[in-house]
Amino acid sequence: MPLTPSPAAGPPRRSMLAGALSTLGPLGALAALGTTTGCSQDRESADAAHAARTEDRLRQAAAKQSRELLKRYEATLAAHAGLADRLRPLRATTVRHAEALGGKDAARRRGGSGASGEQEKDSNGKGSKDAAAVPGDEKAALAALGEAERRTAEEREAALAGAPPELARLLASLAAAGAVHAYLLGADEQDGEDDDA
Amino acid sequence: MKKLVDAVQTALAAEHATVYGYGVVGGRIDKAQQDEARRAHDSHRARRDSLRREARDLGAEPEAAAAAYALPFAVPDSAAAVRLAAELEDRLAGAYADLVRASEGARRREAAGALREAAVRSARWKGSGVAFPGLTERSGAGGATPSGSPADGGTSGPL
Repeated sequence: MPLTPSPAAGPPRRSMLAGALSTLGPLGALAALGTTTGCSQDRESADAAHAARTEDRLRQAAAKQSRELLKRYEATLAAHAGLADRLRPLRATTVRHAEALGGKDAARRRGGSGASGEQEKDSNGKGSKDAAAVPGDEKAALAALGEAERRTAEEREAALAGAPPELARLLASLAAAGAVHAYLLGADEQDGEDDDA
Repeated sequence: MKKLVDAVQTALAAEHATVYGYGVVGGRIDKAQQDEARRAHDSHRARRDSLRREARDLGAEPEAAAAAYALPFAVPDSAAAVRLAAELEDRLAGAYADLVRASEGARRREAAGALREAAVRSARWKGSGVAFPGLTERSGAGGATPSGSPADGGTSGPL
């Protein structure tokens, strides 16, 4: 285990050293830190560029997932006015998720009709299609939404393994929120799907 | 490394507080919900134990539990006990979110799973969720209050 955190992810060197100074007891550890810092500039910037690309890709994928979910909420709300009270808060949360991930893009498409021409492939390859097909029965419609939330949450939990630290934290939170939505929609998560990798 | 150890220790301290808190919850909550409280209590003890092992694996002396914790509000009845249980889970979620950030690989997956469990349990108790479980900086109105990160572990700490 190296003494320095992974370069792309860590805080600026100065603040890290300052942090180490204030909290790290033994001077030996500090000295060791000092020796490892200066010598790997090139590799660091290459790593940083790579990390930035990874982050961008993961963010965009997650934002797309949130927009897909949003479309499902819109379609379900349109088909079942009776579910409005139940779904509106969850839909509002999903909008916030999309915004947290995507910024302006998410806000622009928030109306729900955007991006209709583009065939957004999700990992199941059938995202857009069943977003349009809302079950006629309220209960079934809730279950379908809950299932979509649960699946998205699982995909996010899988994706966070490769994410830089701050994005991983956000994805973990979004995955947890998705599991909560699935629970609130009646598609309860089962324990035991925990540790599959 | 240092950050990872700190995050593990903070999560461990939070689990200590949660285990203590569920002791209080169990003493006040209605019979109908006692099983659920007991299951939560057991699962937090298991998480606490595994965090202890992790701290040791990382070469640290595991954070000890405080002798007592100041409850965030009085818990005279079952309704308050349910509120406390939700509050415990919300605070814990914050510690696990930070552990996700500080860790990698299997440990990160584990932390994400613990975050999810805390969020879902909180929603079970409350009947509703928050938009960003564990992200106190985004919690806004109605979210969990930021915990006073009891990392220093005296004899008594805030929950």
